[in-house]
Amino acid sequence: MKTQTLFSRNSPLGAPLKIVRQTFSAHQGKPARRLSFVSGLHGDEMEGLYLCHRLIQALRQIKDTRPEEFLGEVHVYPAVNPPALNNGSRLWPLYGTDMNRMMGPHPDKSLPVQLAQEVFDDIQEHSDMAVDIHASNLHLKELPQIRIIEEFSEELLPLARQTHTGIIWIHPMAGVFESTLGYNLNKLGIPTLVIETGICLRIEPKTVDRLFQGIMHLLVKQGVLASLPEEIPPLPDSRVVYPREVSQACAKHSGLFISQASLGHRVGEDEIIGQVVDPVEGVVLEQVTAPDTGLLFTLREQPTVHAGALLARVACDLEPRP
Amino acid sequence: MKQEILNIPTPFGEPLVLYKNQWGPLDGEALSIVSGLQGDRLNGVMVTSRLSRFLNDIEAGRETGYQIRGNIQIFPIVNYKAWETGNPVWNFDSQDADLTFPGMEVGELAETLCNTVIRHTAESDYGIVVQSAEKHYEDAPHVKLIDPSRTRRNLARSLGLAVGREVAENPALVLNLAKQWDLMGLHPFILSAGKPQTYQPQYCDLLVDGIVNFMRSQGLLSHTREKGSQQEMSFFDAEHECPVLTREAGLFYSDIPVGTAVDKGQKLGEVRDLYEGGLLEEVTAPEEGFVVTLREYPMVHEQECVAVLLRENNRKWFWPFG
Repeated sequence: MKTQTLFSRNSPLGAPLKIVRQTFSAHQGKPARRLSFVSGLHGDEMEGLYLCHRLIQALRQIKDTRPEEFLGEVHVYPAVNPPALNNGSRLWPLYGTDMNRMMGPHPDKSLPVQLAQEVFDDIQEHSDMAVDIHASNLHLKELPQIRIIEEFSEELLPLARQTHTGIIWIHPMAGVFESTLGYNLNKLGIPTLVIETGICLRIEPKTVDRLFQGIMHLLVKQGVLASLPEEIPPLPDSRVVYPREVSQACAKHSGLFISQASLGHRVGEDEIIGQVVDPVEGVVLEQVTAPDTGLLFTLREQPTVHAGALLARVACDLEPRP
Repeated sequence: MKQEILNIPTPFGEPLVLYKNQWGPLDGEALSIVSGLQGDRLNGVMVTSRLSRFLNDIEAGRETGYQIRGNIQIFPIVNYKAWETGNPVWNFDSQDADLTFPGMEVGELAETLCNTVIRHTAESDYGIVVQSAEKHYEDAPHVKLIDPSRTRRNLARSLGLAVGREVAENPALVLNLAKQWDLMGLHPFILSAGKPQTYQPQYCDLLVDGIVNFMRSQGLLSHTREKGSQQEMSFFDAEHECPVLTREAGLFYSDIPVGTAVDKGQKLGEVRDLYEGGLLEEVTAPEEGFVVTLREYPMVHEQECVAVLLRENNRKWFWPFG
């Protein structure tokens, strides 16, 4: 494994601000394919960091014992936003900026933009394909899923299937994606999968282990590794969810959401999945019901809600009601 | 007249109410003015508050000679929760309101607030956002223009500021209020002056006078004797802006005030060692130009942007040549 610094700036306090890339090169000659894994764009999303740890640990072991297994090249960017990661915050604390809203061509030369641009350029230079790993935000807990913007689905869906991630959600484009790493790499012709899992500031080792196994399958199917390590089991196929197959429940009242459902379980249409309560008056404001029959793959975790807040998403068994 | 445009119950207390002020006939030319997108940009809120007082005085007959001829709306506060904290964003969602447009009618709180503003301004002919520089910087008073056509440059000349600056395209721009107005067919202008968390009366005077002049020029206000006037203005395009970066990390001491015209090689400030105070670097202007933005916060990394120059040799004069 080769450790390379792709971004370094001296700090007024002493320790420089540095970002590293870990590279596992092909055993011989030109790499068959180059895959990059990125995590930590948001400093409160920890699952990706642990997934990178698992990946680096496994690849180091293969490199040490069976280097000929490496037909292609792997680059891991485990912590691309150190100021936010050290602060445990989504945003770069000194500037209050979101690193995943600064990708693509940007005229500004502020330090966060410089960092975003140099990370972006480095990934572009070193990748035939990329995986950008995120946890969810403070509010919602997610089943492990790959999210694909509709316009890229033809190319990305076969690649996403190779990861055997539980859910592949193909969703419509929105303006918010235009400044993200995934969208801009895809626009440049570097197929990029975006993983979303769990909730921020937490790590669920079992979930990450399962994602790790899927990544190992991807590396073999992409021809980066010659064979699957013995300890990686076969995995079931992913469930592909199309835009019309997702229904969501939103709060009609402001209050505390008290969940009565479990993420990853099936729910029936109109089944009660929680309540919104008024803690000041001691009354139940609404019973929250499942909008459709299907798999509950997003569930509100932060209980404080304003009217309109997203509480749950269901991957429907049938097309949702009009 | 102060009008409630959104009333959302909150989980634990009084409802969150968003207001606008509105004057004049509903069928005339329409101008919308928005401040308070970030919770620490005081100059904007002070400007819109003073404008509201002025327009109320006209309506009450206390400003002799003036009449309101057009439909004028002012939205003093958008990111209400951020204003409660005094931070640019509300910590609960880490969402920059000016990266949330057009928002959603039913959605998370920030999306609902932004969408309310979009719906109430959609029928306007002109839109003005009043703000100050990004965190840690100070702006000389200037007008930012999106997609600056000849018409928009001519309109900008009546805003009473000497400097016009083209907003550079970037992928996140589509989430800005001004860009959304542009897409909706309004003529958008962003007035920026000063720094966050500070009320700077001299800048606010300038912006208030400029906006009043704009209203007179566009026939939104009339006065028995005075007419709106167009001012001399130099306009700078985005590609010729010159960021000034430090070589060293340390404490930046500025030698000049923002808004200064500087010569090539002129000293802008110096960087000194944080621990021992020794001189590390003299920061000089790489080009002749106008210092439109200057670093306020002294701690700087290596290659940190401490100033933005608008280069004189690329400016375009729009008056008296038209």
